[in-house]
Amino acid sequence: MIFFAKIHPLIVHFPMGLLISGVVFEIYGALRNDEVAETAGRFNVQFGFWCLFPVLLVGFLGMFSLDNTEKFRDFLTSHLTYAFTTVGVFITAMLVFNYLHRPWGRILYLLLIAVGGICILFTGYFGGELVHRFQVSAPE
Amino acid sequence: MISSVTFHPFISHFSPALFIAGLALLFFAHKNNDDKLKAAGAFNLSLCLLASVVADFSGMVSVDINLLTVVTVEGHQGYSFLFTILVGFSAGYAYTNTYSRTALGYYIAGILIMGICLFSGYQLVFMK
Repeated sequence: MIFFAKIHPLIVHFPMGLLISGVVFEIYGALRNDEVAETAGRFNVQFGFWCLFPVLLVGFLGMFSLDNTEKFRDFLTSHLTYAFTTVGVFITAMLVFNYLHRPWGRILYLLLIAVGGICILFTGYFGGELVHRFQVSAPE
Repeated sequence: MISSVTFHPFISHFSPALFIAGLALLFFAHKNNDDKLKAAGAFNLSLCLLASVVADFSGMVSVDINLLTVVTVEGHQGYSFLFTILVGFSAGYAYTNTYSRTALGYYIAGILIMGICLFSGYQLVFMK
């Protein structure tokens, strides 16, 4: 199980980088009417969305190998909470994008991915603190 | 939201993700003969270059760099600089001669060096 805890930080680069950049590009493209930025952003958001699930699964399995969690319990709880919120928000955003073809559906989609982008920033912050402040799954 | 300790690891998320996304977009553009996707791929690679440069500089001023030996850090730094150069060439070719043999060489070399760069950075934190 420690294998999963060690592999999670390596593969987490993809959903993090793709979703944050995707959200920024897509909102920028929509606001500036820039089709290229919007296309790149949409691709990144969708690619990042599908990368979320293996990373979430690996992180969840890795969590069971952690011991002495008392000192970083608050950070771990926040990391998990924001991770699941991110997944929930992006699933809703994908449903809105695919099934709500109304003018306000587009605005709702952009709002949802903006919220998702903020959630993934918080997830990354708490995950980063777990590794770099508390040395979780890293040698002291 | 981004602490000083995790600044470089945070910034370094973007370059590998944008490089893979850029190359994937170029592949789909070639497959579907779609110029919009090709432009989007080149856009991703350009932003990947910017992210790589920022990651290089943030790595050089990383707060924990003094805790590691020069030899340990230099491997990762070397691969990072090489990756940045390869991304620069890939971005340039993406705009000009996207599917030439030289361009494909840069894309493949970029993927290989990106993998090594990610792993060497990972080793600095998880396999000291």
